[in-house]
Amino acid sequence: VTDTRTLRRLGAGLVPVILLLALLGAGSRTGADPQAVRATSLRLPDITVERIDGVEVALGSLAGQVVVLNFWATWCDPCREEEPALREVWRRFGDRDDVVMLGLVYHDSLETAARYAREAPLPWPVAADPGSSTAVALGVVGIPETLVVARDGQVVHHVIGPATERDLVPAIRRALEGPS
Amino acid sequence: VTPRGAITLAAALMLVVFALLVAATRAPAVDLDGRTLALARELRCPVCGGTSVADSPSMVAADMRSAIRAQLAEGRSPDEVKAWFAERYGEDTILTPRNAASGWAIRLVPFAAVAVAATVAWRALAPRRARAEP
Repeated sequence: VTDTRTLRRLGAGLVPVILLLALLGAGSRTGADPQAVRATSLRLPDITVERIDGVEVALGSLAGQVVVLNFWATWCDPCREEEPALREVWRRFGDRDDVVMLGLVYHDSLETAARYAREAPLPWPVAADPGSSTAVALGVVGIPETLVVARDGQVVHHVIGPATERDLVPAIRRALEGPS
Repeated sequence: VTPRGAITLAAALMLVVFALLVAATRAPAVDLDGRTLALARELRCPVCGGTSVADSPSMVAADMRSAIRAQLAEGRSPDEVKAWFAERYGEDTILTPRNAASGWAIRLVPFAAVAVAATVAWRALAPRRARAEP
């Protein structure tokens, strides 16, 4: 009888410990995938950015199009890692009128970024983000980060870390299928 | 004044000094830079653990300080700015409660301390009442 009671007490004591460990385990990421996709309720801010070719782009005027925003810098190694995935995204969607892809330079010299974009070359347009105002408005914490914005301006996908085509392509497709 | 009264008076004076110090540190900054710094102290840097936006040398913290300054300059209230950051970086970005009631409670602490100290000092200095004979 005593042994049974002891076992019951032990079991009752272990339940919260097991629950706590399960909760901790659920909060940590497993696997080798370095990226995290964040749920968001943010909208594309109405900020005007200037492309390295001098063209001004009012982000608010992009309503009706699916926008892919990639925050990057030339000093950022993971940004170079994700470049093939972004090239694949551009290959698939770059010729569409209803998809806009824009690289936003994060804490980097615009001159250096422009030289890199010319020499690489990057096929998608690149713009400055003075004071990181667009980055902060979209909750960006570092680079690389890539966001997919639906036609209505709602951010529908936010990748923290190097993006992959496996992740971005379906997100863009879903955004394109949404209301226009 | 009796030795006991002197000790009480000294304690009351220390309480007043403490209350004044608390009031000084809680006094709202008037200029834009001061208000920016004060608000940056109330927000957590999203990439540096428990460090505030004011104390963090990270790039995102620098960007957040610029955004705080710009929004205060536009006339937004500190609570509005905090809500704006909470929407972007999560509710745990806020280091201090946004609840106005608790803010007022904190501001009332120095006044309450002065009132207590004054009462203690008045009692210590007041002539002792003659005890009624049974």
